[in-house]
Amino acid sequence: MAASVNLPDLRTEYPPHAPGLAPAERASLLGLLPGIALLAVVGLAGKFVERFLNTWTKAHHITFPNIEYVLWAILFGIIIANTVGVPRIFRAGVATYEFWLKAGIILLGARFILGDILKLGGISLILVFIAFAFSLTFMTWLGRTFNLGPQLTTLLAVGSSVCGVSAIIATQGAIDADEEDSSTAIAAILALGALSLFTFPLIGHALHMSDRAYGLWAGLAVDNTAEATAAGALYSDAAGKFAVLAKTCRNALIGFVVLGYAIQWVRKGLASRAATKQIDNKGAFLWKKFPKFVLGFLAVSLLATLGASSNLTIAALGFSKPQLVALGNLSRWAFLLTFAGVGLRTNLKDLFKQGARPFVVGALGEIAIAAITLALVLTANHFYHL
Amino acid sequence: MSTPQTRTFRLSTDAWAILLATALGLVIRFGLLKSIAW
Repeated sequence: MAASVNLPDLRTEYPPHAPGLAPAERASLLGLLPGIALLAVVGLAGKFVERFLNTWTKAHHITFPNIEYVLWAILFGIIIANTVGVPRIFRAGVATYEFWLKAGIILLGARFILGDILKLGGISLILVFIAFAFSLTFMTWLGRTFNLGPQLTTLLAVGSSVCGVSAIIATQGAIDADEEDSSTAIAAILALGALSLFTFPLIGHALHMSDRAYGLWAGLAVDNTAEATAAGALYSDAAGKFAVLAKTCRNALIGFVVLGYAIQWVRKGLASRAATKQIDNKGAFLWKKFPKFVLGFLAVSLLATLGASSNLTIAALGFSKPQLVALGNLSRWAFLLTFAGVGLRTNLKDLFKQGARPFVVGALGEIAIAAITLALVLTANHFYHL
Repeated sequence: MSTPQTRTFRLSTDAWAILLATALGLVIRFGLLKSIAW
């Protein structure tokens, strides 16, 4: 029996990720290289511009705010994707940005000790629950007011409160929504995510927010993981770290939310037989929807915590300080590729060609969610000194 | 006559990310790479 191993299937769908559109072609490892090289070139160009501007403005005694490379990398990506376009040969490799995002998050575990994760993660989870309850009620009301179907309203509510595109795709199957509804919800969430990249840092600076508070806010309010990470990193390196932590907490809840919707749909008698069958075994359903990279993040953080122990035998099991610095820097390199990918997959034409009503509902919902999470984070900051 | 079967082996993005992070962690843990610049 001949066994062929197709390595690797790292791609997700190339922009605009809408279900129903032709996905990127399957590529061999070699086929991914041009796109990965393009991600590296765009990311490095962003890093170069950041350094150049810093050196040049200092040399000429010009006061100029430090603009993180993240913004340049995303802007270069957007310009390329929306002018000359991304040639076919690069597409499969560019689509690996989500793989780099997940690898970056796992390695980021090296920059957290478990105590911090438990404290900030606990606060984040409480805030996520409050924000989720609010956004669900508000989005449902908005959807009814604007006469959107229950499926589209549900997808918008899930996308804006839990975890963007992956939550929408996971919920689509559970509530038997059609592809057009999920494409519309995804396009609305992505368009609003792109807008948040430019508005969140400005609001954070205007309110003089700390890195921790801003990072938590970005992680709780920005929907897609890549955009939430970028919105945090645009503020500062430390804020990016906390944005990832808060966003990871939201991601971990995805299974529970989807299961909740699936059960509700079955109870109302709206679910198909296939959708009903998949929630027979709830434990298996939750495990299937659980983002496994979160486990990697926790494992690396555990090894970082062990390494910091004063007991030498325990410390020998974990990573030393220089090793943690190296892992933290590897995580930054992985994020560099991700941010380049965020720009390269942003297709402005596709984002704005959806109908106005879902976009308005999404935008109103997002603004309300951003405002309420900001109020929640500022309140938590007041009491817990984040 | 039996026809040769082709078995494909595919991992999720999460699994690939965990594999890469494990490989990098091992490389750094055992000193094959001492430091990474940023």
